[in-house]
Amino acid sequence: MERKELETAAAHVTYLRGLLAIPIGMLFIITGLGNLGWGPLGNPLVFLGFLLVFAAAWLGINRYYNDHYGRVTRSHRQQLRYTIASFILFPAAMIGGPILDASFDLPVSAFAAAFALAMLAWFAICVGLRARHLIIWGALLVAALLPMWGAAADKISVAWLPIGVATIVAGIFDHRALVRAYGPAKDLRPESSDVAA
Amino acid sequence: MSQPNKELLLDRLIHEPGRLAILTVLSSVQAADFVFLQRTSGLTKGNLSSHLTKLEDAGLVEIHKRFIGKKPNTNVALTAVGKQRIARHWDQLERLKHLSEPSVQQ
Repeated sequence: MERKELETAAAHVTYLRGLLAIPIGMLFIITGLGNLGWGPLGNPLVFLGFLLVFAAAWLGINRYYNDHYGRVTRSHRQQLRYTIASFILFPAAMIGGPILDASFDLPVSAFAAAFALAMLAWFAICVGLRARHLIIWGALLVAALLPMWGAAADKISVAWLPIGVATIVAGIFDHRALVRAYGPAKDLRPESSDVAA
Repeated sequence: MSQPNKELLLDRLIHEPGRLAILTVLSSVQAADFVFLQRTSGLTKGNLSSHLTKLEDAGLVEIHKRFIGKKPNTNVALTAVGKQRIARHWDQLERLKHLSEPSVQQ
């Protein structure tokens, strides 16, 4: 790796843990389907069961990344940037978007558009935009701004579905970028990789 | 024979490629563990362990051994001296690069 790559590796490795996005994206999809009362997902207990499964999956995936790709403590400056960007952008999108959709009878999805913009802004601020971010979140933004959402009875719940799909797809691409940069997980066997220095 | 310019003398401890990679990664974070350093430096665990010991003996890094759950984990961070030395080393390399540019152009 070159100097710049080495210096940015630690900042980037956290978001490249893309498989963590799969349970989160699944949760978004289940939330949308549950709100729409789709099948058994309308039952709060079933939803809670899924929530626990996704939480367990997230913890398992996080452990896999810690074992195979290591742990990093970001610098205070990086941590501050991540925290401020996350605490401003995501609440703004997840609260402001649905409020706009509920307040105005728009033919577009303000929620999905706000979420896509928040993701693009987050990547631009925290790690730098990559082509895959522009394509995936840009596609969600375009879909959100197509005048086809007026027909949906509950467009906020429907919007969770493409948001969830985009989250999962983006996560898979991020994981692929991680493997390209640091090698496949099998290259380091966790039981033997941490020896006394 | 002219005396070498001390300002341009490279720190041999740091200039070794493996140690330079370790210190450069650590300069951008608060701390990183052994597995992450192995991933980013591409070193074998034996080599990484040996380089870390040399850097710790020179006072450039601090090594903290701990258990996370039941697994051993080795966490590494730069010391204040380490931060200064790696920054100075990269400055020296930049200066050398600039000095060499006119002669390359000729």
